[in-house]
Amino acid sequence: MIVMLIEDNQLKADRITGFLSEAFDVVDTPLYRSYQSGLKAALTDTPDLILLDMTLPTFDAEPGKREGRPRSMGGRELMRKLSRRNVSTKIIVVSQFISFGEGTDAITFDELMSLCQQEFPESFCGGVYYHATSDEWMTELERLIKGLGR
Amino acid sequence: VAKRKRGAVAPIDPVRTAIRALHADSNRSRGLATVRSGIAPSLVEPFLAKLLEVPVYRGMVLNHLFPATITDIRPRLAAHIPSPQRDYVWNAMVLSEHVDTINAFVAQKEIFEHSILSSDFNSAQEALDRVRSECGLSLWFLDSQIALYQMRDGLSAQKSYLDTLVNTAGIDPNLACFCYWFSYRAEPNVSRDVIRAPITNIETHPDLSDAAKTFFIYLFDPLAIDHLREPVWVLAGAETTSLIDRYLALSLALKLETARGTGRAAYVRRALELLCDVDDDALSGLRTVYLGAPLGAPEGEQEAFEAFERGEFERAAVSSLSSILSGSSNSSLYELFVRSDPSGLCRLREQDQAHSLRAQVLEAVREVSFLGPGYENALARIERLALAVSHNRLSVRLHAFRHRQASASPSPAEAEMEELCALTGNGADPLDQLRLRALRWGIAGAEAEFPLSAAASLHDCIARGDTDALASTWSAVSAHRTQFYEGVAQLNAGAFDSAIALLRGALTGGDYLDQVDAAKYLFHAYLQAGQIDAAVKLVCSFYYDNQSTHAIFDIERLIDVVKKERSAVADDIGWANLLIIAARHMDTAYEAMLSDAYEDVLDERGVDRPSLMLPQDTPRAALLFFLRHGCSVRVMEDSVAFLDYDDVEAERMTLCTWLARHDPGNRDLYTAELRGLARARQLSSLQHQIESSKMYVDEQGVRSSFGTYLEDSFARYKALLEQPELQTATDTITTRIGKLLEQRDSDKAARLFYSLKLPSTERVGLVEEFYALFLDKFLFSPEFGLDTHLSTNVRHGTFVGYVRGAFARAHLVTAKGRGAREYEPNRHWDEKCEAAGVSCSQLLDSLSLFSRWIDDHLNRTNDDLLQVRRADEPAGLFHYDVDENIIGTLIASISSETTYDEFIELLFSTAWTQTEAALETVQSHLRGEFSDEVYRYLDLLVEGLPKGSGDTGLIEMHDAIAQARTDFAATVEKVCEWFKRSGRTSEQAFPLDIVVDVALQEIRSCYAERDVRCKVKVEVPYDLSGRRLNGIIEILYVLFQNAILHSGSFDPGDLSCEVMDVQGYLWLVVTNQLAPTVDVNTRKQVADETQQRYAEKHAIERVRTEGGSGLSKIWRTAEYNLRVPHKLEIDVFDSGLFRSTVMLAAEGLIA
Repeated sequence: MIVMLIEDNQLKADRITGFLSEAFDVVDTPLYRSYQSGLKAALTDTPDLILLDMTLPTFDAEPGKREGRPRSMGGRELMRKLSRRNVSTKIIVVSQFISFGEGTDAITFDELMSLCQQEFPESFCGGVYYHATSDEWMTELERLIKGLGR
Repeated sequence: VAKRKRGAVAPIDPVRTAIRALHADSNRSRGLATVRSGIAPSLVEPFLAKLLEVPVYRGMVLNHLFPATITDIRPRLAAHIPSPQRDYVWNAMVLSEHVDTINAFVAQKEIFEHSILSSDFNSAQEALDRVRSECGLSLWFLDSQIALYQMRDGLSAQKSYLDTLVNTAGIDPNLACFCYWFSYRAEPNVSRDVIRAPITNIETHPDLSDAAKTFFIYLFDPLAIDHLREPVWVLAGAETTSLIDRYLALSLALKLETARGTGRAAYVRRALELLCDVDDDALSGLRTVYLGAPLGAPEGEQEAFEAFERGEFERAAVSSLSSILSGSSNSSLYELFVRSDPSGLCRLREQDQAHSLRAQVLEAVREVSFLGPGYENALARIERLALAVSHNRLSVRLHAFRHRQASASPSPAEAEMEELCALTGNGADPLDQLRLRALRWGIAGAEAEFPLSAAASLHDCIARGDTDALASTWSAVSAHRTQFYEGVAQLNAGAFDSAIALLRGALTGGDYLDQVDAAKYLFHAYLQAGQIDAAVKLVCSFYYDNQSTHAIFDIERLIDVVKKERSAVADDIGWANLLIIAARHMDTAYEAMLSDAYEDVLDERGVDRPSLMLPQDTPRAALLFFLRHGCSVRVMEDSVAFLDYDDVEAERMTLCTWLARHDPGNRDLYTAELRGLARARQLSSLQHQIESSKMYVDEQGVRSSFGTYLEDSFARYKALLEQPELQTATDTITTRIGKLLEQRDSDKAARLFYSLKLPSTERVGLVEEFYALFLDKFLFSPEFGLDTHLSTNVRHGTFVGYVRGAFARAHLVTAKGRGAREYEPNRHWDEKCEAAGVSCSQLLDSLSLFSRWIDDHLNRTNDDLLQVRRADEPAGLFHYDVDENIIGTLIASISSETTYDEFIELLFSTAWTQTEAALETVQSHLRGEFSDEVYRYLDLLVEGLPKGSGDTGLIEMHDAIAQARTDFAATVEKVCEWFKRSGRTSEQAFPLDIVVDVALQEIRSCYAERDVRCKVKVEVPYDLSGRRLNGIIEILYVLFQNAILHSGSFDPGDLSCEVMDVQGYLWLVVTNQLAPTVDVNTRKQVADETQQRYAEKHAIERVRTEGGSGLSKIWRTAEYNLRVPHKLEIDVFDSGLFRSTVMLAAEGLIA
């Protein structure tokens, strides 16, 4: 199984990769660190699954390069772009935030996941709340991945 | 006494029963409240009439009417349960007992309002004084007096009056609170939005009754009509204050009941009948609706409207202005006047006081009506003016006008507002007549007579879509108006094709506002007829010419239609442009749709970037608009067509360059944008240069510092190379001495060997000596060495501040005051916890501990590890172990052919190789052990969070910690970039304002928890040489840091930075205000001493140590990096102003 990771936090990416290699027969986990690099890869490659962070920089962080604006819901934007291009690769959102946006636009993780379900029923397969100090996310991610084939 | 017949039932007198019930309570006031709450509505009048006959009850009922002093006003909610069925009649009866007083009040109120509008404040004050003497005090009086103080004498006088009020002995706390609110609302910079926030808190307050909330809203935000849930609740508070407040509240409640059609007409009508002797125009609309009274519009006002509809604009202007000047509060007249005479403001000013309030109203109404460039601003001004005259009938009119102009689709609340305006007005406005007629018919049936003016009849025909009647009713002057009216009538009749034809014709005639009117209705006709493409084109074409026209079209409705059927719009650029308008004015959420529409436009043309679709011929307005607003960096960032951010920006620059040529009217805007983009690029490039040049050694300086010593030694070494027999002899001698020394303690021997500095005579020894000497200079030269730069660029607060910023931005760390043992409490989370209603002491303790962990960890790393390892810095990660391999490699690399320059290059190369290894060690440490420790602290912080905090509003804390993790990881990566060998210095010249910006960004990154505000003024006629860039930024950084750290307060206040050229010297001046707690005299003394120390010897001693003011680093930078004459001045003024000035000879710095 090839699982594409779109994630800007290396530590989180490492933990997810470690978990995948232990729990599943994953042969490759290419990592992309921004909305842009993730979207480009998702449009051209055909992984079995995309694990997508919700909050992403626009471009990869590289020395001497600008990252563009931070996107608090970059994952959702990425899914919209894929949907427009009729790419229906299965996607699970893995986020370490419980709320997104600010002020009157603020939205909870659960609300956002419901929105994603409505907007991208073909590709969105669920959301996992990642917590650095707990392993609960692994159980939930495992459940979602195992449910993909059904 | 006649005996009652047994078995006969005496008729029960319900009024007597009610009075008995009143007596049943020992507290008569409470008894009265009980009776009022339960009495049948039909008994209210006889019961109250009975009470008024008996002096003791009369006094009780007519209580709280004429407060003589401030302490007599004690606002409370009435004790009875408010009820429209009882309270309107009850209050009307009470008020009817004092009709003369009410009439006196109404007369003075009109004078007051008229005087305010004409800014005749003396007359306004006289009217207020008369109200006070004739009617006593009231909330209305206090509110009006505060507002008058504000308008006439300014904020200070207003607050002084408030101060007097609230300090009156015995003042009721509720009243003091009300006065405070009146004063707050009267402040010139308090907008409606500002008021709404605290009022929202009141609305959601769990401990306040609905009646109390409604009364508060009525008092504090008189424009929030739609928030008055139940009209009678307004009366619940007013009953306890004064006759005046009671009358005004009743008047509003009756109008609200009517506008909302609540079905309580019988009670409203009866109340009006009871108030029949009140002489108040503000009741005339109600009397027309309920009692069939004729409309009492003054002839002049009515004539103004009639003349306008006939197209007699001069006459309309004269009549409307005359009415305005005579005190009419009908804001429709203001609209009418500006439409009749677009330049009429001058005419008003000729006849009115300069800058009168009504002139301000007129000016704002004109700007809004004509959709001028100041449209948005004028809308806000109108709202503010409406608030300023909140008791004036004009207020609600202005409020309604503002909403009508800002929204193309009126909400139910806005419709209610318009009806309220009609009820408050005098019926001169033909549209008001139609509204009043509708209300009248709702009460009395459609057969009720309701004579309309000619203009109202015309609008009636239009509204009914009765084109035949229209033709017979009215013969409009111009063909354009005929066409327009017929078009609207056809639209209302559902004949959309005819309407479209007529309204398109009307688009081409008349003045601009006539065209706007036609466009509004044409838009609706297109929508109704399903001509979506045409509607999109109409909106866009108006917007291209005037960017205030978005408000006249219901764009959101149009977008909703297109969303359902995208194919309804064939013009993809038009669709994208419509979304641009929506994203700019309605909701930024439309940006997502715009991003997709942008891609559609490009896909349609088979290109992936907009510059590839640029036509060579003159482009259409739609394309220009799309390129200008739709192909912004923000939109293009979404596209996958670009390599990176620079590529996106380059594309935008290409577009701007092209647009500047093809859209010459906006050339200045494109040029400014190009300048901004170029500046952003420079800033980014500069920042990168600064961040990647922290590991720096001034090689030229190191090279020159050896004098001839190294060169002579190298010559000796070459002699050894050229004479092998000599080498053998010297090798033997050296070996023997070495062995002799080794017989003693080996470490000590080694130290002695070096400390004695025996001149080496053998090859290995010579090379070791060369390199040791070289390395010492390379690393520790206070002028040029690596450690000096490590200290200045990294250890001097930069590393700690930069990394700490990741946690400060998430509010996870607080500062520790100078000399304080404990960390300051975390106010951010304290407030969050309080708002969430959770206990936070455990959390605050955890955060305090976390601050300590982080600071200790960062300081340990900074002070112990980011050092060059030596005897007194044994843990330093910059470790230079000179082993046999290095010496062997050096020996192997030097031949008899090697020149001295090549030899020096070799030494540099070797030292840099070792440095790069050390830098890798540092990077590895930061990414490894250092980061692991921080993550451990974050984990501990999470574990220490109150249990269940995820359910009690502390979700934000979890998110903040998650954000800090990501931010910290990114920060470590950026910091690791510092630990790379510095690249070549750019030769590019930089404007000094950008240089200051970079220094400010550096300081802000390092002091993220502080709000560093700085006013920058750069006045120099030259750019800075790229080679001098780092030095200037270092100096500015230290000056800013000094201002922040020594301000005496956590918030350093407003800094200012001036850069100027004074007689060939570049002056860098940073100023800030010391906190009041700072002893200025002590600070002056310190400043004098610091200046004295600003001398070579003292300064250079401290270059490689951190702490202190950092001024020694300025000295070093100026002396050795910039290499120009320099001076420092530190001034501490008696006012507490602190100013540091560095003066640098400009000659060596200019590009």
